[in-house]
Amino acid sequence: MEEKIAVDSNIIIAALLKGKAYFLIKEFSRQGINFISTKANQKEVLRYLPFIAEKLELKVDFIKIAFSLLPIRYLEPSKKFLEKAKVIIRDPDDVPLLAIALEHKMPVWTNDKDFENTGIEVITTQEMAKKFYKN
Amino acid sequence: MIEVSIKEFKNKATSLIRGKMPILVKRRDKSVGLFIPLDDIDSLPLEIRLIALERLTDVIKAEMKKKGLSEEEILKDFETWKKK
Repeated sequence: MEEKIAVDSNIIIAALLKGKAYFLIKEFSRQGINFISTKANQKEVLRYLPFIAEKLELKVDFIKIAFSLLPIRYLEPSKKFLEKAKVIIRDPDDVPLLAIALEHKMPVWTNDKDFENTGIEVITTQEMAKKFYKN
Repeated sequence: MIEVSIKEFKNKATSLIRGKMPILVKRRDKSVGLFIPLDDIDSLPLEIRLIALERLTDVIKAEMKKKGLSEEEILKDFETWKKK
């Protein structure tokens, strides 16, 4: 069965900074796991990249290229699932990711507690690492 | 992916780059460089994508170390920025 995992913006940024998330995305991708996020998360991360570039004194285009190389697909959730997600989660910024997770029946990889008790499986980076070492 | 020698890459760079294929540059039998077209990253084979990503994130990590910045600090700043 094809395994898909929805990834939150904080995980995408952690991966760019070559933290644990980077190694997990790299190794799980090699095992055939698909990482999916939303166009809204993509835009959010893109808006934040100039701040990372400024902190590190790197060209923003350089960071953007690294970001585009991450093996993550960005999709648009359907209106039906966006409506469903809106009544479940508190933060409007989290609605698209919850919607896509509900629509594609996949867990959400995030370190954000707002996704708890939303009816979907939530995986933290620590749990992803455990999953990796178990395999 | 195309494999070329340094000499070929130097002489045919314009036409090779126009081909929009990843180009592995070799010196004798050793791979010394990889040119990756950026206009269609999603169509690149996963391994090539990961090799390029590895090199770019090495630079990011090195700059973080140089500036004394941790992943936690940047992620905390991201959460604060989101709330603004």
